Amino acid sequence: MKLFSKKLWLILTPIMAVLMVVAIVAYAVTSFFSTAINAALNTTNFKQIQDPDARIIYEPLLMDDATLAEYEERLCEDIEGEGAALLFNKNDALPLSQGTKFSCFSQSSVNLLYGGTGSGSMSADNAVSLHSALTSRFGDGCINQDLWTFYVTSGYERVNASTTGGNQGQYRINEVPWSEYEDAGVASSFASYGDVALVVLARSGGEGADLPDDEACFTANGVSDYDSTEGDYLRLSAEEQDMLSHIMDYKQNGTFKKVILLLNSANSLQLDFLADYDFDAALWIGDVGMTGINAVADILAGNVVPSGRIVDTFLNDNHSSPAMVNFGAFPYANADELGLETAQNNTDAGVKKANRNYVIYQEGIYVGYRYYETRYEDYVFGNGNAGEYDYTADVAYPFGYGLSYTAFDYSDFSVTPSQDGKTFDVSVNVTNTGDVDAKHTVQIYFSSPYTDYDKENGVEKAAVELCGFDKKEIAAGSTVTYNITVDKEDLTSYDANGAKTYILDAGDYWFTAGKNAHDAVNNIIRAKAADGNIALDESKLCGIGDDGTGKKELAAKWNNPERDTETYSVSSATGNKITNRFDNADLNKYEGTADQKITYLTRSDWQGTFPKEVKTLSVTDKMWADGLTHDEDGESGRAALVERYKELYWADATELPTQGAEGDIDAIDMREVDYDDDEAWDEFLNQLPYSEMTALIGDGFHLTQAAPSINLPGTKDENGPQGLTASLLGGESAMAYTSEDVMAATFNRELVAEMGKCIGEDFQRAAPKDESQYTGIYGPGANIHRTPYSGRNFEYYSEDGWLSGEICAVEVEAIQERGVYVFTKHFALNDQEEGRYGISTWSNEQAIREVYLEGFEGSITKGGGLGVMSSFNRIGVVWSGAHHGLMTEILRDEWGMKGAAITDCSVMANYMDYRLGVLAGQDLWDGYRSGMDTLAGLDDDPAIVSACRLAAKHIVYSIINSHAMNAGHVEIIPAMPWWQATLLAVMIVFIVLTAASAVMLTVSFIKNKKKNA
Amino acid sequence: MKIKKWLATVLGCTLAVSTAACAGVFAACGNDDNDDEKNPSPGGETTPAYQFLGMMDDDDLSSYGMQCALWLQLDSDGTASIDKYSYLSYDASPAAENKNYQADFMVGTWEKTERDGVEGVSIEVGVKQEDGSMKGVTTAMAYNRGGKYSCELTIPIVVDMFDRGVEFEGTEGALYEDADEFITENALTFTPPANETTLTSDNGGTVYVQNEGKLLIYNGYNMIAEGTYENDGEGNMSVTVGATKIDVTVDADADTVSFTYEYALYGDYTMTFEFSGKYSEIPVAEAGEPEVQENVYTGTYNGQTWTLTIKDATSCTMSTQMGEFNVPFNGTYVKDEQGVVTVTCNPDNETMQGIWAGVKNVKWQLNEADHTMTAIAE
Repeated sequence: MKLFSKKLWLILTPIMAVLMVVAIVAYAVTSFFSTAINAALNTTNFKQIQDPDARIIYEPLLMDDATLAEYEERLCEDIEGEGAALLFNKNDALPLSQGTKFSCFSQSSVNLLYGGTGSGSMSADNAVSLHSALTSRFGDGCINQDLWTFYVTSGYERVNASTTGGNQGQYRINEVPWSEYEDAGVASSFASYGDVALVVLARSGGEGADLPDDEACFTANGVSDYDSTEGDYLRLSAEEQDMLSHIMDYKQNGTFKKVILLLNSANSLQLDFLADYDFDAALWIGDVGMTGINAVADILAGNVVPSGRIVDTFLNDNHSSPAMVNFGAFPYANADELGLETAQNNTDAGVKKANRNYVIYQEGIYVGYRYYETRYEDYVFGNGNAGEYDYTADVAYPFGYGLSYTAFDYSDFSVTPSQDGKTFDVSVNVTNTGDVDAKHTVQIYFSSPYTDYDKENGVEKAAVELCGFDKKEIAAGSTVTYNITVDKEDLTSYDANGAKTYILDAGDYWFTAGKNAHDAVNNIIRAKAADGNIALDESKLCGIGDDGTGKKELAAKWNNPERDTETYSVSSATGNKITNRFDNADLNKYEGTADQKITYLTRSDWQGTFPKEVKTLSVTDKMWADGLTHDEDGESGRAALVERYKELYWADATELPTQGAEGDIDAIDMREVDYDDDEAWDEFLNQLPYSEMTALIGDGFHLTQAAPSINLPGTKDENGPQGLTASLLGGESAMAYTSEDVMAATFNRELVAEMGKCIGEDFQRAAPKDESQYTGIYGPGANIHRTPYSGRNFEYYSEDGWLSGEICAVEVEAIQERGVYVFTKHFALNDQEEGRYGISTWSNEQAIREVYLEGFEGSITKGGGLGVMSSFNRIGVVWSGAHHGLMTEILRDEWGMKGAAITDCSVMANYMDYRLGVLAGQDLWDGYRSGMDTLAGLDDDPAIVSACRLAAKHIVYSIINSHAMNAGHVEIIPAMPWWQATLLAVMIVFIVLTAASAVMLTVSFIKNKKKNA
Repeated sequence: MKIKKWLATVLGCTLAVSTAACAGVFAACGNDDNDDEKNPSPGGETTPAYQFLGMMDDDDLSSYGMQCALWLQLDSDGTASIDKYSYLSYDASPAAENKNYQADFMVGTWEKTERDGVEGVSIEVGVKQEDGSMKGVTTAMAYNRGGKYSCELTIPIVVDMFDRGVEFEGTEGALYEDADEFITENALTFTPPANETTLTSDNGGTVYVQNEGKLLIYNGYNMIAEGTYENDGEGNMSVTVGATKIDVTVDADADTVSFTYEYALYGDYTMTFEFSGKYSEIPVAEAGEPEVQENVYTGTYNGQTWTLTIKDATSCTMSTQMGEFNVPFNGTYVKDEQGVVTVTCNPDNETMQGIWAGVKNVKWQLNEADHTMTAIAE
């Protein structure tokens, strides 16, 4: 064949053309997904030239890796040791002596719950087993090996929610049927290991999967088989009941001397079953983390005296909570008509709209002990239509409850207002009346007057609220004085209807030192009765355990003569005004819901307002326009909203800011610049081209992009609340600590701070020096245990917002001192997993501020937190990241946060609109812009560009306050990753070859024609 | 001659290198860090101590062609390896030439050990990197449960990005004699649909042209669309897929027929198929009516089209299109006197459960007249 053969080029040319097209398409497609591909291949589109003269700003701890690892293992044990709570201990069943022989029961005994599932999940591969822990503390041969092996080889294993895309239908207890014990003949081993039958009851939790609370949760997921009682996962299964019955039979016949219960769950089991079985002791241990079970063994052995206090109200009836009726995802009545969609994970088509469901926090502030103790008090005093309220039918153990191996007496309680009037000095003497040294937590509660003003203006008041605590070690027989400072600001209430700000009501305030919330209420009841000459009906009073029914000497009164609506109407953090921000989240205030009003639970009429059924809501035009809008064709819905946002929040942004200016100010130079030095920041930000700003804002899936124009290094972020654990992105796996409720249950700020320091250190050490550093942590979680059934309770501290704020503050501060910025999550009102994508969460402002925001507020105003992660759900109809009241007015104006607010995973979630978010105060998206880049082409829009600049500033501020700056004055050079370069080369080659082939084809035609001519 | 040879050599090398580069880039976008070991190792000197089979067969992975069989081999020298076979390829060719088989996808070690007094087999495997480091390391203990061993390992789909827990079951000794047997035992057989002729595209698409004006469009082994065609046998032909009429080019002289089909993948992304074939083999037909199958109903809910196929008195399949794949949900149904069907399904995979959650509360009013169904949401 000749070179100019027409036939040759007729064949080659189309081949080249097709290959060229393929290469072009491949290059274009892969470029579109470049961020995701880079993440998968661990490549970047930049090159970072290190600064040889870099000065280490955040020094690592002076420990080698092995020492640090060992230290963290002990720290995890310490946290578990101080967080595990002893619920009862009959006849001093605990501690146990050396040489005790154990028969460990339940398949969970060989498969403990170390943590939950989901993005913050941990690998249990190297976690300490119960076998190992008990053996190390009680000696070799202490475990009934036959029984242990029986469970290991039984084939029965608890089924947890899946890590990637859980749902309620997945949970299985899967306890071994008793018939299997008989078949295996394992009962013959009990007698030789009869000192203790140690029963482990475990319940898992997971991201995306609330715990099923009834049969409907299973059938709704197309599942007809389940093993929990009436579909309620937090009740015993039939197999568990059978197992316990048989164990008790063996106890009765003397085979087992003691039966000890370990509650291995961050979701509180319904404890009514305790009355049915003769347990000798019960210890709540939460999720134990990698090594925490060693501490549990230490508690059993008496090496550690238990000092934990439960951070939720443990119930005999989990469904007694007023929140339970409104727990779930409820579709709007006209959802089908409007084509509304839902999503349970971001591979569902509905994730683009995610506007189908709602939930109403009808209980208001009455969550957890705020409900139980308040209704109890009103029942005792005959107030508020409390009815014949049976407290102990609902409550097994109150918030703050926990026993010790010794006992403590309180005396000499006093409260002294400080001279400046801003605080109260609360003092109490605590005597260890027992024989062992022990740590003890004093809890200070206060009671605010429930006045006529409150009743008229819908200000609800809990009977008691935690406002202070301290933990000390007290030697046996000794007395220690606790002096605890209470901020007067913590006594305020939010008045959303009258003053529209925080108020300090006029009237009598009571303080008490209580051993738990119920003990506190009883003290105050006694004191109020004595003070007001009220005759108490003693039959109405009840105590838990040995607490008794209160001592008036442990309560003190302070009177506020006049209602104060001014002092607390400005933020103590920033000096900015505090006023209503969530009228559009309250069904009774938001004009969009028209006449669809709600009656919130009120203590002025318990029975009349207790939630009974879910209120049906329909979407109105205004609700649609204000946030539920989605774009079927084009952009009409959200585009109109974008314009409205510009008018409302960026009306002054009329001039287009400078972009991409020449300059030599590097990001690290801004460390020396005050955050509020607008001129300096403007000069710096002027250097950023729009493309770099939007890349920084929009492509933040577990990382931040490098920005060459300002030499901002790229960084990495990782989960999670239990520490730097194994996650969806793999990465480095360090120590996994206990579940967050165990951390809070320690009531030990120093211990939590130490853990925070180590978590930050783990992040510092996570990446090699010349790679992007791990500088941001997704966690801790600060949402609320609104009910026991939320799938992620293991990642949140408590049912109490104030305690969450206190613990979160110390953890956040400690992590950040290591140069790691914290994204406390999920901001806000993400207290359930069901329907979390885009669910409309309706609540009133008082509850939002006093319960659900307190954890975040503490992290920022007390802990100096640099960041938050906004939530999937909507506040009212507005996605949280696009809620200006939340993201700017609260977060920045009131609380003064300076760093970046990141979204929750935004991949494919179009409803998390970039324009609306940046205009509202959202800075960074945990996702990719692909398929939803609504910022594209808006570089000539003054409001958008201004908002993007602010977002960029927040992101930069976080990064320059991190250990990424240890790299010094890095130089960021755009670079094409190898895969992209290869594809580009291939594309060019085929373009050239196609062109060459076309030329040769043409030439061959001409030659052929000439020849034929 | 020399120029010709030189040109041919250059072109050939360029093609080869470019194709290899493209293939390498796209392969690297998965988790195939062991590209250089696609073929099984030659017969070793060790003997199999234990072998396990694990199936990564989550329904959601079928949409991406990522279902696979995993052969965990623990050899007498203490080495462990997992070979992977992507059975959705329908490629049962021998391991040595089978592109869908990967030897040593994961490697590691094992040992007999005791944990908490129970004897078992400790396994650790990971994906070996070019520099010798390991990523995606997963460990498990396998215990003897009545002569069978089982364990769960975390298998990467994309290393450091996505993974799945896979249950492995096995025994002492060998499960398969060799890699070829592993493949053949797990291979699927593709049966093409009945057709009078086919049109093909360069990117693996096939149109099965059936009688009575019906046609089926496949991407590889998966049907992506059904359509109809009209052909007068004189060069006039049209094709309709769904509501879209597609231009068809017929060159009667060359006896060719061709048309372009754009297949929507996700979002704005489409896959383009340029089909062509012999015109003379296309039956003459009027546009066929889409075949109405008596036991099949189609409806829409929440923007998603669902198809109910009733199999017998109690069982059925609900299916929906996800990307290029038709995703089925097998379950049971109850039909009341008004023809309202309630379907119960129990997907055992979390992502499938998530998809099913979208219709779990929906009942369907069957419309016998046109075999559609209307969603009734609770």
